[in-house]
Amino acid sequence: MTEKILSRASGRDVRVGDFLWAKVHTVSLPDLTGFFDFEFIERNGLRVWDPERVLICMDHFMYPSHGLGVAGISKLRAWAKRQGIPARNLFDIGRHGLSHQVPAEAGMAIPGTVYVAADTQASTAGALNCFALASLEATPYVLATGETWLKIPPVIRIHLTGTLRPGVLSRDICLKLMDDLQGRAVGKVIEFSGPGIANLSMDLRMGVANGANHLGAITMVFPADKVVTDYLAKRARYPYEAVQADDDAAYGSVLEYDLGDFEPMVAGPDNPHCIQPLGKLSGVPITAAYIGSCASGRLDDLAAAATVLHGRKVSSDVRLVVTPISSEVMQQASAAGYITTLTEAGATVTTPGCGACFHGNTSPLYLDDEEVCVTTSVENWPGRMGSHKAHIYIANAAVVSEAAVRGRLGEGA
Amino acid sequence: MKVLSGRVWKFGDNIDSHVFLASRFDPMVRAREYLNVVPHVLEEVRPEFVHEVSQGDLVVAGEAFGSGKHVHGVVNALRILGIEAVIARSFANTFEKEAINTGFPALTYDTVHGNVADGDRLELDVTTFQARNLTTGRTFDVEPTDLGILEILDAGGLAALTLQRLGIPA
Repeated sequence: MTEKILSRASGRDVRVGDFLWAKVHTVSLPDLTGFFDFEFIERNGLRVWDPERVLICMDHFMYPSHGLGVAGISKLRAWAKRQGIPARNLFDIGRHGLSHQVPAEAGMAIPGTVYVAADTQASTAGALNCFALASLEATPYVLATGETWLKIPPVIRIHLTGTLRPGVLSRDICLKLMDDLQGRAVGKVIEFSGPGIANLSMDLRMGVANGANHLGAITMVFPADKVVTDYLAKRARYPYEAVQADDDAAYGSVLEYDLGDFEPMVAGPDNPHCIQPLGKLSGVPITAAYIGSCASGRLDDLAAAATVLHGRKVSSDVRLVVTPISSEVMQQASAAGYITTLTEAGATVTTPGCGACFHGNTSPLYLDDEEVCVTTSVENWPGRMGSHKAHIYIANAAVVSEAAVRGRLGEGA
Repeated sequence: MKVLSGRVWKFGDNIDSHVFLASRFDPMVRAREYLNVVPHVLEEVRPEFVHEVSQGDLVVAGEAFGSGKHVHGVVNALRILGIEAVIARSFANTFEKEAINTGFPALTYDTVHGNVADGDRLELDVTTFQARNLTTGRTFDVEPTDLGILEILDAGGLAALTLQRLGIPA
């Protein structure tokens, strides 16, 4: 699939190892722009190559008077206007959500294309059969030209069969793959295949694809089956032609997994690569619990949390903060009754966005010295969610919810 | 950039971000005090590195150089320390891209690592794909360099190349 998307995007037949300039279909920007030279375009009298293809998602700075938000997101609003980015591509407060979720909801992550997001977790859109790349410091140059360079990476194929057991979510798949691959995916792309994919919802696929960079992989690509075409049926803004792997496609290596063999996993503390099955960490006391970020916070995650928390109460020793990934997911969770279930249990549900995942944001979860947190979010390096002296474990939304009730990590009843 | 020539600092596989910079310096990176981290680069594995490195030296490494958590400032620290290029058998994507996009050579050659020892002097012509270990006198071929990457590096980085490609005077 990788070679097919990149051949299409570069206008020539390309093979593993080739250097190429690929035409980009969509660029997704977060409201956090300090990690690239945001002024480059206007300083040089340039324009965004195609304003229709650029979307801006307010996701980090819902409370812009604090933290890094002080730099001012109104600057970004004004820039979008000057650059002619259409109002419907500006996902401002009320329509906001994570820059790795909104492009899918808005029908702008198009199968069979190269998709770029400025922020690190761009690979999430690989769930929609995109070749999805994080542009980081290169963002202004992609915006100016609509092109990005890359060397075609070797492919690891992961063949999936079976069905996940209840209480197992995308986080567990990511952590298991990190533990198994141990750096072998560095600089490579992971393509998924097999009948098990049909049993994975869009939410689960996006949660899995989100984890590419922690595996060291450039990105992940899922095939576009009925789940994808159904998801896009009323959303896709552009006609599309998905790519499928050829039966005789060559892969650097192939791994096989039965989805039924995955189990709840925990990473940490303080290192996403320190991974164990939940049972081995049973009993670790916690003071803070978080459900959210681009790795989680989707409707499947909130549903799993609501199932665990229904009719129960969060421990008085724990604060549980839930941040839906987007305004759309907030509405869906509200309609499904999950928000009521979560808040009745004693969780607080915040405005959508990245929330507590990143220390630069404002969140009621922000960790103090010596706190112990269990989170669904992307990273647990010291300082990631507040104090450098707090300790963070990563687990799925059901495990986080159970821990919030018990005040300690442990298996569900 | 045509010929790289300098003392080799040789490293193995999986030199990840916490080998570059111990996690106790993360607060400095978070505070964007990038210059303050320079004296600590690679000190966990080679305490003498920052004291003995000199302008034009080369880092030669194995697989997956720059993997792990992306730490801003590391590429720049290597540049400030005088490293002329990192040559590795493979790179983590974010390290390679940040290096090349900012005009710092991170070049992939499979053959160099096995042909040099730490402390050797290496000369490598990136356009003829010829290398010579000046310490042993041995010459060897390397794989062709990606011309696209050389174009970015020759321009001085992706910002400059973008302006060139769009016909904007620098």
